[in-house]
Amino acid sequence: MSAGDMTADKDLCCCGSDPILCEFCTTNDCCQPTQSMANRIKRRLSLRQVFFICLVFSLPMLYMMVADLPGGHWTAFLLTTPIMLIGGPRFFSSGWAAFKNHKANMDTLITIGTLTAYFYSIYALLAHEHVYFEIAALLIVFILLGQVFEELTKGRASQAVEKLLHLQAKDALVVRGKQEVRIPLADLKVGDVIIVKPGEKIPTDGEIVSGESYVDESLVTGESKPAHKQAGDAVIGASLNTTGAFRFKATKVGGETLLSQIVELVKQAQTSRAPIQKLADSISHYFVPIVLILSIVTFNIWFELVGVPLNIALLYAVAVVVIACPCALGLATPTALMVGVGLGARRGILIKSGEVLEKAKSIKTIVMDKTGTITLGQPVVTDVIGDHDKVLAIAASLEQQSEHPLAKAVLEAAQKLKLDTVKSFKAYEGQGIGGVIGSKKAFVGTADLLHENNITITDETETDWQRLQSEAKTVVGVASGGTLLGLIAIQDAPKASSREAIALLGKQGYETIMLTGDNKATAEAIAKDVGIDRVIAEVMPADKANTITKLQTKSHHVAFVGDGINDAPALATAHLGIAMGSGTDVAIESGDIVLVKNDLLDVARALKLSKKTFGRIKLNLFWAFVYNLAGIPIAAGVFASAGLTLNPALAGLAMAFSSVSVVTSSVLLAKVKI
Amino acid sequence: MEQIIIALISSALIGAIVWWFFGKHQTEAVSAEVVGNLQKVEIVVEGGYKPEVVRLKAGVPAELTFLRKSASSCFDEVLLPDFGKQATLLVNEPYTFTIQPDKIGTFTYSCSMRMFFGKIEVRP
Repeated sequence: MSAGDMTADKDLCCCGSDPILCEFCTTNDCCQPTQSMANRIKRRLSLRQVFFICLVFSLPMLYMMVADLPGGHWTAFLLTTPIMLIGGPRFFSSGWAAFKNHKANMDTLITIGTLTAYFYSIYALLAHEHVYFEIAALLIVFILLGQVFEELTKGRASQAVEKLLHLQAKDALVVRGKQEVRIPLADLKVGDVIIVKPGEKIPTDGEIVSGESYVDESLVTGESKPAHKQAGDAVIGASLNTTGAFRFKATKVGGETLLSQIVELVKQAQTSRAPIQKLADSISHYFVPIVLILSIVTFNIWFELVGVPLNIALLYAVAVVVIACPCALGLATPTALMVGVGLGARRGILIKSGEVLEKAKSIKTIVMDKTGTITLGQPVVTDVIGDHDKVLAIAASLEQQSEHPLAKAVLEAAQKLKLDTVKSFKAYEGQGIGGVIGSKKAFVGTADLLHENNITITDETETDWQRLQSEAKTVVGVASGGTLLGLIAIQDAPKASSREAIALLGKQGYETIMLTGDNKATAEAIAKDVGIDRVIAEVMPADKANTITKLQTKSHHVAFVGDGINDAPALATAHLGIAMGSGTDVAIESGDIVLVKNDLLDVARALKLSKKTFGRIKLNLFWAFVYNLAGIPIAAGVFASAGLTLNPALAGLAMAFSSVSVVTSSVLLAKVKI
Repeated sequence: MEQIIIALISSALIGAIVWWFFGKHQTEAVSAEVVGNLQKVEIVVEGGYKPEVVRLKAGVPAELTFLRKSASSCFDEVLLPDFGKQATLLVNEPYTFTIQPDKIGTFTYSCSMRMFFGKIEVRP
């Protein structure tokens, strides 16, 4: 009878078709078992169910350790046997299968330990000697308990990142012809125009075509402050629209989106190798057979040299077998890596592999690109001398027709001002621009341009001009009707967080260097402003990688921070390349660490996280080694003369929890503040 | 007398352990079956990875199917770090990875505790 039939006959069945109870069911034909008990159990019972069943049988055994139960040894035999049959097979079959492959694992150790205790006890039962059924029973229960815990904690360690993908929108409201249709995410195509209503998830990556809103991108970039988005701005799939509404055109769909790429990258990083693991790997190959040999040696020493009775010598041998825990060594690295990398990903810090952690640890010098990394990468108006609105309005009116990069900065600053129309506009190459506003001739430009047009610069204005220039700003004069109205200073200003970030890096003991193509004076001024240690100026973009190489020959362990697109060669050359992105433009393939958010503070956070994760791996490995190095001698009875011995069941408990403690230590890494 | 017998048995056991686990034993190597522009190979997970060594042809997309038969928690996961893949294996439920073996060489994969290893040999 198949499982399906049994379910169908459930109401008629004596035991509700419970697969376990069914096995013992004799009164009804409905559950005539057709498969061996072991097979059914293997197929049907989860780890937790097996654990609870075994636990129930073992509770009276725990009681037996302190008091007698009716039936004595025979009761112990009857309680232990089901545990061996229900809880044992998962270890025995695996241990045997491994053995046939010339391999040995934790299951080999558990199998040998429990079967030795069990069969010796059956012999002792018949020979009327002391029995050790409780050791076999409790060993299995304790190890199952350890595995239940491990399953729980490991689940917590690994699920964090994949969860991100589940947070995507399930469908999208798109414009098809004149209609609005809701379609599943999978049917979305590049070029689709998607409508996003207040409070909705943005279904995919794209560019806003109309409307505006504040968008919470924290899920993807880790930036907690909602960003203002309007037509032309990029939006990231899976970020959350707040109160506004807008339409955007899909630029990337499916596996191409930033979120999908991040998840893929993180999964790869989590499974990557960390060189530090090599030692543990090579040990694990020899570990179990050596423990078996040690256990035989232990038995011989106690039995032959010390001369204790056979059963006592056997207990020491069993304790040695079951206390050894190769798993803790194996789990130490991957679990910490998984948690550390996952933690970074949620903050917009993508660590590419386990190897990166080791590189990050030895970094002494951090070289940063200037434009776009330390600074905003966009010139802005920083100072206006004279009547603020009037000076800006005249300058902006003229600049409306200019294509100069600085024009954008002036227009942005004058956004709220009313601009006039300009007649007979003229651009003076390398000097500025001019035109007629109303009936007055107006100019924006250099001192030379003003002199040529007979406009006098007062001594006071001259001083301001000099001062602003010494602050690494580009200064232009604004004149109208033959008089100088004021000055405008423009600068590619440092990002708000740059100063704090560089101070933080300095405090963490790194030397900071700014690398830029700018002239020395401008570079020095910016460096002074943000507090950077050293400046290497006037470096052509193509020479950035060479500069890094030169620094590295002086045995500096150098990290380079730059944008992933223009600085790819320098990122690849440095010991550690940290690529900074902004939104969807993240060049995810460049660099060892990718920062999704365009914020220099994340450099300090990324380095700190790398160090913490690597530290945790070391701690885990250390603990796993020490546990085994200390545990095996104790179990072998080396300290027996000092009264320190270990019951084999407790040895099994210690072994089960040494792996749990390693996994827990990794999970706790998630609590680290970065 | 009893002591001598036990000592002899113990020595024999130690010798057997060393020979069985550390001795040279032939490992099975199986080449993937190439069908058109795809190569397939199945790896049974039971007390280890069988076959322990699989050979793939470089440049041809490969489907590696893992069939876990052992309930041991040792085999809950399989990690292929060189190909950036990882999966949770369920007992008796085949799981297929699709990988692109472009680099020639020998790559190892393992269980999550890194106790069991298998090899992927990519040949021209």
